[in-house]
Amino acid sequence: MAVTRYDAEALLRRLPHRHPFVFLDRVEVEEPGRSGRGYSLISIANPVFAGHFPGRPIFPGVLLIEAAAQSAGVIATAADDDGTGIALLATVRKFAFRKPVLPGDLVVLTCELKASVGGFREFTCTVDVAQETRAEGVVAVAIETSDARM
Amino acid sequence: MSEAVSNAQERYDLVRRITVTLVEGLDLPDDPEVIDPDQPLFGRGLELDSLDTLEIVSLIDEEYDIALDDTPDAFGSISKIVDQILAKRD
Repeated sequence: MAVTRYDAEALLRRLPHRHPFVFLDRVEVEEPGRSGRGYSLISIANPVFAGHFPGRPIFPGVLLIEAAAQSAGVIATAADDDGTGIALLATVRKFAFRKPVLPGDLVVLTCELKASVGGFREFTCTVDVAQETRAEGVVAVAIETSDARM
Repeated sequence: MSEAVSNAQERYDLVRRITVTLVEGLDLPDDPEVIDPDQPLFGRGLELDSLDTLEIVSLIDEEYDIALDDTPDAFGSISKIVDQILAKRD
């Protein structure tokens, strides 16, 4: 199956978010609308580490959820023919954080469609580092079309 | 037991199980015993919204491995959800 790759520049055409709230460096969509992987390089230069936590940098779990939602959003809207739809986080369920994500980690966010109703898409997401699961849970995104934004 | 009675019992049991699944899964304040299966799920019924529909699809898929149809009428009431499950089981 051909994988569609969205690099950092292409992601900005798919996400409404901008610096410092883009938490992805790349997304590979395996099946548009259904499955793919987001990649996030965790740098000690990220200002969040100044406060989370001083002397003990741990990437915040809530930002891993946001990264998972952004991955799910890119995958969900990849099925959008005209490419103008954007996805916004709608729900978070059953997210659990098994081990911390640290500076230097390459985070792989694997998302698969779980349910689809109307403009909502729900994905199961697994957050791995070096093939070890650090967090997992379910996020739903709401697809907003260009018509709805007018 | 006749087939008709057996089918009615199966439906009655399924209605009760689905009601408990929805009350627990959606964290509803209602007592499952007092929910009428024909009561509307949305609006003035159980006052669910479109996001709850997504949760209902997930809950039914998790518990019964059945993908409910994404049509406006499909989630009108617990009875309609049970109708779909029974039809898709056959």
